[in-house]
Amino acid sequence: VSLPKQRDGLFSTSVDDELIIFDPVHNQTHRLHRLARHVWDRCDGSHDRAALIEGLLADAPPGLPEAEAAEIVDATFAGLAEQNLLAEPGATGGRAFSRRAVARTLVASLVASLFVPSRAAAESCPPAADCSEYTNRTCCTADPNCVWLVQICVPNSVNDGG
Amino acid sequence: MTGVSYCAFGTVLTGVFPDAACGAELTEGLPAHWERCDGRAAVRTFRIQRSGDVSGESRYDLIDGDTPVIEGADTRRTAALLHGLFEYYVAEYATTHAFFHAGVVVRHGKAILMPGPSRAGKTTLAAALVRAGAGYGDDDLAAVDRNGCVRAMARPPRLRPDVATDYALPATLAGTAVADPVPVAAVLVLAYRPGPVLELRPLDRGGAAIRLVANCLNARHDPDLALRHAAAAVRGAWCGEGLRGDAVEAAAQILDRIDNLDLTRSAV
Repeated sequence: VSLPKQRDGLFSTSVDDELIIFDPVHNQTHRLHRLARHVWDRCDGSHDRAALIEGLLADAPPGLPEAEAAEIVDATFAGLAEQNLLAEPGATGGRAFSRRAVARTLVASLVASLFVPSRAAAESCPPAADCSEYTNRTCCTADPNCVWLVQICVPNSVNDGG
Repeated sequence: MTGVSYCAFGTVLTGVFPDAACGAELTEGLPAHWERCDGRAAVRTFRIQRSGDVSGESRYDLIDGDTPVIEGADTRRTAALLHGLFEYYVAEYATTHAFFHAGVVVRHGKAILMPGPSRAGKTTLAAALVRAGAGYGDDDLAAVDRNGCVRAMARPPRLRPDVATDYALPATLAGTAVADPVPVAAVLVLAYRPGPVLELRPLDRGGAAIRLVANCLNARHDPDLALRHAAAAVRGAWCGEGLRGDAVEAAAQILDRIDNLDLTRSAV
């Protein structure tokens, strides 16, 4: 993709100068650093690498060297592509974007991502006096005194026939 | 059969009971945020069927949608399970509040949020903060409205047995929690490391917001709500991340840091 484009179906909101994105397909949330956001805002399918660098130089604080802007654009592109935020899955940028290996730490500082677990996976398991008080399998199996049978949490002794 | 619907935080759940008296008995004692709202479309329906009697007491089967949850339970157990399921699903389907997996305490009328996954030590730290002088909010859930204000769920604290002796708080704390929504003073993302340590460094608001979204229980159901409410929660809040060791020592230092933010000002 020499003209990167944002993927459809993403949700986003601004926090200070940064952008927080939620990807409902991969259940991930992403944070774009303000410099990465400048790049992202122009990922509309009509800006190539040179235009993205030019745009970043226009938006970024004065004094950003062009070489550094190019590095930021390449690293941002790498981060966006890795996190499936661009319209073409698995996009690598081909020759359009720099073939130099981008610094991983720079990518991580520009595009940070976290997985959003399901409700069940995120559930805290309160201590229960009785195995039957657990209404989900995760909590039941986390308790060494209990075992999950079909849809019910029962004491180990029941499972052992004791 | 009698269908009864209840609403809380925009979530509508329906219970279908053998008769009205049974419905009243099994829903008695639901937390105060649940209100009757018959006629509204429910996101989930629970069917309770009478399965027999033991020594003159009714036994019930409880079915969540098409999934049997328990069979032949007595009234107490059936009611406890039903209430537990209501509280479980409200956080997943809420449309008025974002439900963050976070401990909540209150200091000078503002909330301190401590987001984190299960077993991150939220309950232990919340309990230590309360013992150090903070007000109790909740040990596991923060309901945040569109203005970024936190409504304390005020459920009884639930410490794991291995730490309950050192940090136990009376369950009656739930009745003393702040009732009105309060703005967020601070968002603290803390990981546990054994030892007498509190390493707390500033975290920018974007970093705090993404942590909140990653710990939002209704984010998958309503991503837009999760993002907007997380952004509102961190707006004006001091945010920090780091490591904490012993909860008692950490709590004292955290409150000292929070107090020095001068929370009496309108913005931190």
